[in-house]
Order: sequence, then C-alpha cells, then structure tokens
Amino acid sequence: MQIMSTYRRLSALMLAATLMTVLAALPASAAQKVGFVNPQRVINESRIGSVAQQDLTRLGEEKDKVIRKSAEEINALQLELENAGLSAAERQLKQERVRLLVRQHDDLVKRSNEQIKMEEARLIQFIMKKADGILRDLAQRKDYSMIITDPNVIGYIDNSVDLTDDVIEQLDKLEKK
Amino acid sequence: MKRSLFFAILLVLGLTLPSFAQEEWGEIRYAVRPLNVRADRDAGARRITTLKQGERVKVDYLKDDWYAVFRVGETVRSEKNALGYSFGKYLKPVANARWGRIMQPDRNLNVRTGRGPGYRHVVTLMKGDKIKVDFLKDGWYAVFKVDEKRRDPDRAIGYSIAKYLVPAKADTHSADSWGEHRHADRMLTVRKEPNPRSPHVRTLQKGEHVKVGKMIKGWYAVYEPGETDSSRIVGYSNGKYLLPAKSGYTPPTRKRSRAKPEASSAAKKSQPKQSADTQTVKKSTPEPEKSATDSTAASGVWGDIVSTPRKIILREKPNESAEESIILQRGELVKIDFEKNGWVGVFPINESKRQESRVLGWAPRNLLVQKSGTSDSLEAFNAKPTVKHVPQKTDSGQQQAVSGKPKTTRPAAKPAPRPTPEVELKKETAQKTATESEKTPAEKDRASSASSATQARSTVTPKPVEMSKMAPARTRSSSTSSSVQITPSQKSSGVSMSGERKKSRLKPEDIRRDTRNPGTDEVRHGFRFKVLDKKEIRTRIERFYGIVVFVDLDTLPDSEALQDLAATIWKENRRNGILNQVNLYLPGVDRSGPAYAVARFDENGNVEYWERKSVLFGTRFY
Repeated sequence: MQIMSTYRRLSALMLAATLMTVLAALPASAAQKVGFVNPQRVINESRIGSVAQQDLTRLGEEKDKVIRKSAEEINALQLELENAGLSAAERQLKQERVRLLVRQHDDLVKRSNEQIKMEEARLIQFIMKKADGILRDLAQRKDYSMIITDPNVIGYIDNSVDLTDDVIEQLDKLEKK
Repeated sequence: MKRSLFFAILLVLGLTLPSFAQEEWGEIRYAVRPLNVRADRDAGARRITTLKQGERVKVDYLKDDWYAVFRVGETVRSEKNALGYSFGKYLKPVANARWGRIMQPDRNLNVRTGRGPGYRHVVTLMKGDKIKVDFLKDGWYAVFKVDEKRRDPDRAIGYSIAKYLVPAKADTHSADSWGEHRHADRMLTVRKEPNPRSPHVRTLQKGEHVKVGKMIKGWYAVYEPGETDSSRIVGYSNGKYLLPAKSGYTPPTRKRSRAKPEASSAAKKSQPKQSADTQTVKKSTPEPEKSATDSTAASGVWGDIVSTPRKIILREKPNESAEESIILQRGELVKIDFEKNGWVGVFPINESKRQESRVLGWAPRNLLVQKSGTSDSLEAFNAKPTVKHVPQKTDSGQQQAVSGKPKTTRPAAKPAPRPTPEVELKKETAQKTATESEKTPAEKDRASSASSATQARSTVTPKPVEMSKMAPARTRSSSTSSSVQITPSQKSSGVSMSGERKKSRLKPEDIRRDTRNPGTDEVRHGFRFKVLDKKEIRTRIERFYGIVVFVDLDTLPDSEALQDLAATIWKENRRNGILNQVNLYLPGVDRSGPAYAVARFDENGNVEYWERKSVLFGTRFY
C-alpha cells in the first residue's frame, strides 16, 4: 500500500511536470484556457450515475441469491451429516461432498465479487463515454484547450472553470430525450 | 324402432370415430454421422439400433434436444410407434426438403397467436399475400414466412384459419390481387415505420387516395395509388384515419418495374421529400421482374464503391460541426451515395438497402474519391457498381481527417485492455467481509463444516456504491493513472497526450453503427428479435458462451417476459458444457457497450438475470 501511494505521488508529480512542459511548448500567442471536471461528482450527482448504482445493487442482489442457494445446499448436507443413522461409508461420501461444495462456494463468492467489480467498471466506463462527448462539445464551445479530470493534480481551481455542473446538467438532459 | 336405434348409434359412432384425414406431422431428417437410436432420451439408455450416415428417418416429439425417430413411411403420429430416440443435433433437415404449402388468403385474414379466434392478433394478411403453412390442426394452420427453411412450429409467425387459405397463384402482383385503396380523412403523416416516433416521410392531404397493404399494430403499409409491387412501401400511416376509397374513385394503372424518372434525379440531388428512405430507386439498368419479397435496392445496384485514400473520420451529419461517428482506415472499401453539399453518405460495401438512415456516417466527397489511380483492391473486387473518379478539390477538409482527437474508434473485435479505473467498493459494505475473511486463519479451516456454513451466509450485496476514486476510462499517459485530456483548438493539428487509439479492423459486417436497428428475423413470445453474434468469451475470471441478441420493441417489457425470451433463445442457441450468457440489446442502446438485460444459464437452466436501466439513457425508453 505504501509503495502504491508513493508511486501515485511520483506519478502525479511527473504528470504535473509534463503539464508544465506542454503548456510552455504551446504557442504563446494562443490564449490557453484550462477547465476542470470532477469525475467523482459526475458519477455521484448525475441521474445516470445514480441509476447505474441502482443497477449495480440489483446485480449484487442477484449474486446474493445464487450464493444463498449454494449456502443452503451446504447447510442441508450438514444437517444430513448430523443424522446418526448414516453408515461410515455414507458419512465419508457426504463429508467429501461438503468439502467440494464449500470449495465451490468460496470460488463462487470470489467470482461474484470480481464480477461486481467488473460490472462497476463497465458502468463507469459507459457513463464516462457519454460524458466524453459532452466534454468535447463544451470544450469546443467555450474554447478550452485543456480539461483536467484528475483532482489529485489540482492545487486550486476557480469555480469559473469548473465544468462539472455543466457536464452533469447535460448528462441529465439525456434522460429527457 | 330397432332400425332407428341402429342408425342413431351409427350416427353417434360416425361423429365420434376418429377422422381418417391425416394431419401432416413430423419432418424428414438424415443422420449426419452414424447415430444411435436409443430406448429413451438419454445417452445412457439402451441402444436399439444405429442409423447409418445419411440414412433418412421421420422425426417428431422434440424434447430436451432428443427426437422420437420413426420410419420415413410412418403415417400414424403416435410416440408409441417410434423406433426410439436420437439426439437432435446429429439429425439435419434434408436439403431442399419440401415441407408446408405456399398458400394465400382469399380475403384479409388475421394471424393469431393460437388456434382460435380468441387468441391475440399478430398481423393481418392481405388478400393475395403468400405465406407458407403447415401443422394443420383443428382447422387452423401454423403460418410461416415463405422462405422459412426450418420446419419447426416454434418458428411460426402465428396461426390462421384454414378455410380462408387457398393455394397460391403464380402471379399475385396484379393490382387487384392485393391491397385496397383508401383515402385520408384529414392531413395525415406517413412515417417510415409503424410507430408515431418514426421519421416523417410525407404528408397526405385530406381526401388523398393511397393504396394500403398489411396492417401492423393498427398502422397500414401505404403505397402509391395503383401500385402493383407490394415491396414498394412508401411508409406507414395510422389506420384510424384511412377510410375506404370514395365511391367513383378509379385507381390509376401503373407500369410495373420502372423507377420514376423524378425519383432517379431526386436520388442524385438528395431532395428530402423524395428521399430513398421511402422510394427504392435504381440508377442503372431497368429493373428485372421482381418476386414478392424482392426490392429494388436488394439487387445492390446503387451507389459507388470507393477505396478510402487515407484515414477518414465520418460524421453523424453532413457538416463539419457534427459529431464524429467512426473512423475508416486507409484502403477500406465502402459504398457512397446521397450527396449533400459536397458530402456523401458512407455505407458498408455490402449494404443492399439504399436508405439514408443506414449510413455509417458522412464525409466530404473529395476525401473519398480520388482523381485517379484506384487501388488494386477495387479492381479485385467483383462488385457490380463502377467507380467514379472525381477531381480532388483542395480544401481545409483534408485537415480534419487527421486533426483532432477522434471521439471513439469502432470497437475492435478484441479491444485493447483499458486501465482499470480506480474504483473501490465501499469498505463498509458487507461483501468485503466475504473476501477479507478468507485471510483469517479460523475461516481457512475448510474441513470445519460449521465455520464454512457461517461463511456461506456472507453476501455480496453492495450497499450504495461509493465509486470513490476513478479516472475516466479512456485517458492514460505512460504508465500513470493520469486523467489529463487535451482538447485541441479547432485549427490545430491536434495533440493528444492521453487515451489509446484503437485500431479499427473493419469487416463489412462490423461497419454498422452500433445503435442502428439491425432488423429482426425471428419471433418468439411475441418479441421480434435477431441473434447478432454467438461466440465463446474469456474474461479474467471465467469463460462463457455469449449470445448477443437485438430485440425490437416499442415499449419496455416486463422483466419476466424478457427473461422468458432469453430462456427460449438460450435453448435454441446454446452450447453445452459451458456457462451461457444471453445479452439483450434494445433499440437505441449502443451495442458496443453493456447490454440492457443479461441472462446466464448453466446446464440446468437460468442461474442469473439482471437489467441495466442506465443504458437506456438517451433512448426512447427512458
């Protein structure tokens, strides 16, 4: 974790340095207008973002159903194991079966978590793809030559160049189309 | 008394004795390889006999992919008479096996979802419409499309009463044999498709006469008065406002198989009122005699085939300020048509329908058409249209081919891996415990059934997701997770620090825009749909067989109905031995993105089903 955060800090510093270089390299005659969009707010505050979160919740409930079913199967087998009338061979077979089901259950839980993560990434990508077009339009209309979307590289930003609300508003308008 | 009783008994028996009229049943198939016939529908059942490769049998009673197998000459349809059962996958229909009868209604005739007048109406056949019928039962036929190859009752469009069906005549295109003339009782819009949100085609004046054909959901297919070709639909209008022709009205007689001169020139000048959305127009040779299902544009003789001289960005509309749609790579063969103000519409090379709505995008004509020196690929191409050469104009349009950062390239068959956004599930949510708990020593003891049962109860239900940290998916610079996006000024050549350019490997079938309606070719449970793709997919964590389906709808259906449809599609298209996933896309949903509904199936049936409402944003469903 420490390595990761150090790595991220280094990366942000490198990026800031690169930005400065690029800014310096751009023709001085052109007025460079820089804007900022906070993607986190776009996801959290837009209507499409909240619907995406509901979609994710629904997926989680669906996965939950499957996992509960698997758990119930294991529990039912365990109840059978507690039955005193089983022979040694039968008991051994059932125990093997329980062990197998437990392993499968663990895999299922792990896979389900991964699938939810992948679905989350997919939905975010979908929303940002929609926002991308809006961002481009905004930039062209308002003559921005750069739009930053990572809040980590920003020390200070004036509200006048924060385009997040505009992006959210345009995304919400998609709903009414 | 005794005699009258005798006759009465005879009469009753006569009424109750089974009819000897044989209803058609079964299908002739052949074994694609030596195939066992078993005593039951199970690979482990006793083998009765083995069919030789190519041997023909009659089959019926399909269940769980197993057929009951009969002798070819078997006439009595009873499962008891079956020789045994064989796995259906290895029994293929006999090539050109004839089945069904081509018939036509002798009056306007309803097709219903069941064999009875109380069933829901599906479509109305006009007098003279050709259809294929089979599976006669209780005086009702199952109705199929004329070109239906598979003799499967599930593929029927619906059912019609047999007594109004007569054998099809050779020529059903005379003006009297189909359709009727009606007039508009007010100014009436003709639309491209039978729904009020469809694009406008033209407006009928009050009192104007037209010819109408099939009725679909209360909308008539509208033709020019006196039209003889039932494939030349102008559009659709609401049937409520089309009244029978006024008395004394005489429809004009039209010559068959000729394009209108004004329509040809209109195609070149792209007049909006006579756009080829509604008219099928040919530029070149006179049309040949057409069949019921043929259309002018289906012959493909329209447009120009060109090879892109350089990488070209297509736009959604024929102007520079329109949004970018897809990128064509250098040397790709496309078809162009519909010139507007120096811009042309670009189509896939094998596009048969000359409709402006089917363009991939628009580009300046001078970028697409070279002065001379056509590529070798053009000469090797065996398309019928010829290539036109237009002197190249010098303009700033050339810059736009390379300037700027394209919005999105067409997704490649195997998209380059995107950087995973920095997203975390909320740590307070329950699902984290499921994975984190694996690390605790106590829970590592899997032999302990009690602890595993406790573990089993943990869930993965996410609470409101805190998508805490993330970067826009397509931005990346070197190896960092930067999210800087530079949008160049309009005049610059464009500098891009971020994002990945995907190489677009265009194949003709892939060129279509992903939100376009790809059409439908099947009907199940009242849903029209088309299976677009089926292939095995491997992700980081699993492997499954993906079935991509487009479902054409006007309104959002119930989840249960869609789930049901997904299950039927799975049964008909599945691959055994692997998890199957059916992805359902609705009209307007970008097919390069997530599907609206996903249904997963294992060997036993449905495992999971969920829907994504968020993908409906921007479509007519949300």
